Amino acid sequence: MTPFMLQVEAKLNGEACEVTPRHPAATESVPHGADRHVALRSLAEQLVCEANAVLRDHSQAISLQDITSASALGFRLTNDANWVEVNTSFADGKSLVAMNFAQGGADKSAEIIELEDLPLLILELIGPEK
Amino acid sequence: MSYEVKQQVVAPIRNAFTYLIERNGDRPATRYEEATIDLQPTENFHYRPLWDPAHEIYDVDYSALKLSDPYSFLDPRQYYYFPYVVNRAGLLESFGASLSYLESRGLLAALDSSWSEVMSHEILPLRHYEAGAQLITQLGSRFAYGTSIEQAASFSAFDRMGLAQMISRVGISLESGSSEILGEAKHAWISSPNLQGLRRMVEELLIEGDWAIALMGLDQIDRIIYPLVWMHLDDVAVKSGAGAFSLIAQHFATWYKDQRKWLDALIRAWVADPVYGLANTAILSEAVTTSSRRAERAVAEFAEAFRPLDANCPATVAELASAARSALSALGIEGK
Repeated sequence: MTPFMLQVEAKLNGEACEVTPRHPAATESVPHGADRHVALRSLAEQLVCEANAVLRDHSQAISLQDITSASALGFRLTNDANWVEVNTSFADGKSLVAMNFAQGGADKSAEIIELEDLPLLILELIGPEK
Repeated sequence: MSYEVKQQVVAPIRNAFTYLIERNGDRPATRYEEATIDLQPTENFHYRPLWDPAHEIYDVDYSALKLSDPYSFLDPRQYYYFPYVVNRAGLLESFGASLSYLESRGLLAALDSSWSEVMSHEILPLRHYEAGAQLITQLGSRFAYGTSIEQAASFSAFDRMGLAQMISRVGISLESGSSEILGEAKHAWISSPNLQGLRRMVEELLIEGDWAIALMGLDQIDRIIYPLVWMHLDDVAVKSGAGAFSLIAQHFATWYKDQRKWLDALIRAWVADPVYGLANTAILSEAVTTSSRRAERAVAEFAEAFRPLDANCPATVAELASAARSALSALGIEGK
């Protein structure tokens, strides 16, 4: 079991976990925004695999779905009614990047998290054991 | 009781595996031939890829460049796993020895400020160029048709990752063991205006659907950037007393010469193919036309940073680009 898998198991056992620190989304240059997105997307895939290895014995699973368009890169992580969408939109030629997170069906909130906080965000999707 | 030991020669029933005898006649085969020719499956594919149902898992149509016999290309270096690994272990060991010498004598720290500036802010970000090159070449590993091509592409992709690591080690040595400088190099790769042309071209090649066209595009940059950074600057370093750079550059220049061997042989095979030669030449010429001038512009922008070391660097880029076009022309490919 990896440290993150142990955290997933602890969450299933009802252990509280920290709230993901969020910051207001900020405009970045295209290369920086694309780099951050690719880092988040790659790590998300790794963490979802680790989480699902634990969750499959508890009737839960997180799905990862890419949502891309001509001017945006995005992916959505879903576990039952809980979901998080990470969106990087490119606008105004080459200089405008914004990342939006939405959770629990609420309106999109223009927030951003640091890469190292992604495990916490995924843990937020996991409910107690069914 | 006594024993008499006699030598008895048992003639082999055959000299090679059937698939090699069918191709070459009954002659002894080299290990390279045994480990390469006709290894890739060509029939009885049960399932098409879910992500690309229009193709088989091995399919000639992954690229517009085709060979009527995929094994008309054979790696002139005859690399299969063992000789490749032995050769590259030697290269890395030799590079490590150079770096240890530079560290033990404090030669990197003693570099003139203009040289250490260029190494930190211009050369180190090239580790990301190499990482991109690795991904582009890896496309050939997966989508090339025929083991001889995919094998050479795989080794080249491993090489590019090794080269990125070698550049990283230089950075860590420059900072006396700290890796902070690598973070700055990444920032430079995505921020420095003179690197953006290179970065953009590499990233656009990453999403080129045809692995061979992507590889040719990458090669257009390699043909200019390698002679510029690891050969021309090496000459400048020798003349200006920056021997530490020269000691490092020689290893990259050696690799580039090795890279040319298989890639030029592959281009020759594409052009000389009896069935697809003309079509291949037209496609290659178009690919070179598309990417050659772009590569020249991207490297010229990059080379602006070398002016403090050599005021003639932009002119050198134009010369190298012209030499690259001449080399391709000698292979039968005329880019415009």
